[in-house]
Amino acid sequence: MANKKSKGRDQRHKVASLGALPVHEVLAKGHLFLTQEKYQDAILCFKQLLKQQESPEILQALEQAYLGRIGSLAAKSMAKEAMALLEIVVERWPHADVLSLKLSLLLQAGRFVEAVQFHGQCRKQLASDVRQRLEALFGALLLAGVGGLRLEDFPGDSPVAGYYPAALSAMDAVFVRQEERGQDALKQISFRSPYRDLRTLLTGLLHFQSEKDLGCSIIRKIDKDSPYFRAAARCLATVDTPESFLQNLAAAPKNEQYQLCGQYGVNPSQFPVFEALSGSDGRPLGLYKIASRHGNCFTKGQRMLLLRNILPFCGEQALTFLGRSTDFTSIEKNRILALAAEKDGATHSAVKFWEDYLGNSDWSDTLRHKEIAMVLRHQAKLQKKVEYAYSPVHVLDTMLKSLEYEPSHAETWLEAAEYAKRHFSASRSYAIVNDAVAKLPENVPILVAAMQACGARNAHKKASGLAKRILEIDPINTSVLDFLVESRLEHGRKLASQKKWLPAEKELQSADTRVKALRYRGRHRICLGMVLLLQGKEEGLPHIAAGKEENGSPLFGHVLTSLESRLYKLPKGRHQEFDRQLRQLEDSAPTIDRSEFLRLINWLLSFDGEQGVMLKEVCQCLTNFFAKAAILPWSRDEGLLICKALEKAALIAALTKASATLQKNYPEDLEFKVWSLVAGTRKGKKRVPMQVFDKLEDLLYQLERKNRLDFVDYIEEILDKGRNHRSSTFFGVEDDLDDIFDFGPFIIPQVTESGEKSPTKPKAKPVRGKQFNLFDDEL
Amino acid sequence: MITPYEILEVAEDAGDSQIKKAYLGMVRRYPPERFPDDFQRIYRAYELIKTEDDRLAYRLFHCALPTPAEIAAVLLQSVAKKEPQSREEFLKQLGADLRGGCSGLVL
Repeated sequence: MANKKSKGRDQRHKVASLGALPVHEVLAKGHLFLTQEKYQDAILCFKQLLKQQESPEILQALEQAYLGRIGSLAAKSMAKEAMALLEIVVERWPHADVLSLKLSLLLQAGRFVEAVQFHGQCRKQLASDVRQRLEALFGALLLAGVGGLRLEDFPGDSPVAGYYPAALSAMDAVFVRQEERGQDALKQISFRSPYRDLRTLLTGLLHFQSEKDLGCSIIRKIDKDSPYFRAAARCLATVDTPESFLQNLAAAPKNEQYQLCGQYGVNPSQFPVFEALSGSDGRPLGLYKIASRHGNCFTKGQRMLLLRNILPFCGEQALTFLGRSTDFTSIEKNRILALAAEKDGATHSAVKFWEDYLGNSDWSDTLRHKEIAMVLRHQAKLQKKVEYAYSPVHVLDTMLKSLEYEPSHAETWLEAAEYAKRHFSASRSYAIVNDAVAKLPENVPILVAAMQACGARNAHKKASGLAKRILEIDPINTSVLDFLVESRLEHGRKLASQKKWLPAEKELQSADTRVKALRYRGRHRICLGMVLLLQGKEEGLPHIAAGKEENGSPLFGHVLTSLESRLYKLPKGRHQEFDRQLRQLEDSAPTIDRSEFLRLINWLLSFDGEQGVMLKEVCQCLTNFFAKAAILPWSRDEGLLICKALEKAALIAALTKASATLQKNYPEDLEFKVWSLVAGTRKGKKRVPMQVFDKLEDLLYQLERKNRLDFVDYIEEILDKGRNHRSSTFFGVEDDLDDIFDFGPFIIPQVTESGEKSPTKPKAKPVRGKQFNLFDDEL
Repeated sequence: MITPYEILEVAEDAGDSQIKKAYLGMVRRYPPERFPDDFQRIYRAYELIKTEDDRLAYRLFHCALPTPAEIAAVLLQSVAKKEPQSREEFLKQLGADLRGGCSGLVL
């Protein structure tokens, strides 16, 4: 009331002061107020002037001031006050163009029925776009039943009433998901009808079930000033991702952000958090601030979940943040800090925090032993990363401690055994594996590890026992089956070397015959034959023949016989006899069996120890076979394996042929060029020009750049071996002072199998008419 | 930010069989050929909590920095995001829009 009184006083005062001014000054003031949109003051000025003189100019200015004032009241949602002023204007200036303004005010005031009636009176005077927008609004108001609007309120020729039944039936059809009916009903709504946007919205909704993208693209056509715009935005929000919501929010002007949140159904109280998120760069510290400042927007569970996921990325600051926090227990704080330290690369601190985690927990509950074991395993993993702080003893202790809490964790047993083998000794590893077998007697991987450990310790009997146990659990475990046979064969050889003939025979007879691998098939009978031959019993020969037959492959049968005769250390005459048989077979074979050749290559690469050395020796009987097979077309990968195996077996002539053919077939592959050069360096007693080694070095450099590091390492290893054997350098000359001054071609001394230098022989004169062997091989 | 339990719609103390059952149910609802992204999300969630050990490891060691959108998703979870299902619902919402929106109409 006091305010109203004061306003009235001000007005009187203003009028009095205007009355004292000359007319032209008041007029100027009035116009100034108009331009400054101070309509109330402008009205006072012009009213004052009208008291003194009535001119059309002043009347027009007053009308303008009134209309301006009405507009400003409407903008402040003071529709009633604006309507009262409008009535004054209409009364005073009956010809004033106030139709749109009046309609706006009626709508704003919620006087829809009056608005419809007024619209009916002045419909023809309205601009067509204004009329269309009004009719669209009336249609939506009628459908939604807002403001008590009824169909009867519209004149019969109004399109709002005309298309109303079609709009209703289209809605019915769309919401009962009858696509065909819906399409038909939508066709009844004309493009020019007031329900055009409704038709667009319903068409989009019709596609929503089957093709969401198409539905959305249709709905997006609805304009911002359409009465259906918010409904459309709400539909689009159902398919929008939170990402696009935040993007839209960030892009929207301030005054539309609230409205946008409304479309997504977001509670206004949550608006600040969304605003903060939309402006966030996603860094942990920023996210932490959002989560803690707007903590009340989340449930406690949500807030804790957020902090649990954000704090581990906050580095050292996690310590400060958690210090303030009352949400987490001290155990949980240690866990988060440990993770934060891990993420920050502070592994040593992480181990300490995990220690604190274990130290602060109550572990009397046996159900939580798994958790302790898991944390200890994790600690061991971390400890391995910081070798300077934790010795292998510490790491192994942590692993073994975890096994006290969870003895059934087979992976840790195996890891601990492997770790002990690498950092301590085979016997420590063996002890761990034995403990593991005691704890997990049915676990196949543990039993396999134990079996392999026994095999490595030459405890073949125990290994066989373990293999048997595994086969009881897993009868089709072929690798164990192979191992069992291998183990028995090895044990048989051991017994035979001790002249324990009967046990050796027994061991060999008990070797499993189910074995499928060609390297073991029929081999126990061949071995049995060897044991008998060692005893001077010729009945060993039929056993060998039967073994060869059992093997199924004549080539492998003979290869294995020659091999076993060497492994059993039979007299030299016997070797030679078996080798002769092998050569005869090689000569009689008309064609090369590709699979047999590849298998032999595989044997050469996989047989190790004494067997590997002996097989290499046996393969020297098959030089022609290898040389013929080497020039067959092979794939790139096969070619690489072949070259590797031939070099390993010192079949240099075959390697030369193979690398040359492969180089021709794969000109882009530098590896074959390398093998070709390597073969050249190994070839007999020829002068090897220095350029060859330069080329080799260059090729290896190129391969290194292509990331073929394994291959480069392997070749360098071979060359190093060659260098050690020959006491000469391939790449460096520093080992040989003479070479410092001699960059010319040099001779690589011939190397014997034992690695010793062969005595220098005078160069033989070429003999006319002498037939060299096909591959220029040394025989 | 939504936990694998929430994705698979299982309780945090659910056992292996319950989780597997929920996973298979989800796969039926979101087959990979029709919903590849949803399926990937479901599969990843299942892998995280498949066994008791997995669940324990998840509880102890899992943390993933959420993106702002993932945090927004946590808040938007509670908002029912569904297009109108009936004529009545649609008209009710339209009415609310018009009651709040006619004041801004400028002709």
